[in-house]
Amino acid sequence: MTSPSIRAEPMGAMNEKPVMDWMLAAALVAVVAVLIRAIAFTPTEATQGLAQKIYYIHVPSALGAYVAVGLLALASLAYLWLRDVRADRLAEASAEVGIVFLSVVLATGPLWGRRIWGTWWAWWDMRLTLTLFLWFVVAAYLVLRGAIDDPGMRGRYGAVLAILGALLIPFIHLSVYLFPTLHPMPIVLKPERPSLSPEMLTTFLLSFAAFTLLVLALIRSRYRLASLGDAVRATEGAR
Amino acid sequence: MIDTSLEFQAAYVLAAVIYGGYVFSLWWRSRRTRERLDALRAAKRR
Repeated sequence: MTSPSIRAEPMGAMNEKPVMDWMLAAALVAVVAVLIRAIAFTPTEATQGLAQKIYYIHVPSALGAYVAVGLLALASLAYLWLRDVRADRLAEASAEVGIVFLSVVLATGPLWGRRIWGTWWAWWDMRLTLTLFLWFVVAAYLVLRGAIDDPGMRGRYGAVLAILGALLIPFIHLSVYLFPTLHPMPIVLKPERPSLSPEMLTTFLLSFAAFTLLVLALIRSRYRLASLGDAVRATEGAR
Repeated sequence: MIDTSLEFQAAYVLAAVIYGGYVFSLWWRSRRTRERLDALRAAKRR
């Protein structure tokens, strides 16, 4: 089966730009700076001790994963509508970066939970379990893409899986209201004042900004790498 | 206050390894792909 025509990008439009550039460097510097602030210049929480500082990487990484998977779904919708190769490339880039952020969330959460909740993992905690499911869906998306040679079929099948997978995000976010178990209710985004001290709140907001910049910079770099790969395939095909 | 420094350090090291590893993989793949593209273009010119 052949795929319907895909709108190609003009040759040479993207592939000459460096994969790693000022934006990625700025994002990495911002993340390092904010984590130095978190470790050295932000008060240690009275009951949890130093483990509370995991918050400054765990939560911004989770929000970064939402951004990446959200972009994956939007780019997939755009691909199904326009059949533009650039939307497919953005979807692929967002998925790869999304799984990196989700991996950090899943790696740091149990370390925090072990001492604070007394367990590494609890299957009945919907936020934990659904986040793991989202990791598997994004992994399946990347594996599916790797298994299909035809670019049109790869983009189309991948887009459908990505859109269905992204539907998990609202459930993950609302799971603490729907199934209140181990994960706490929001402590920043709530009708009353945030439950964090002003210094902690400032560090968290800076961390959120730095990790959001990092997710966007990584997606941009990965998109440029995909453009470079497409240029290689086009040059090979032209020989 | 309980001592949770081990979990704190482990989490920060793990995050650094995952993010650092991914940035390294991007750099490595981009270098390989760029070399391949340059080689193909050079072969095409010959």
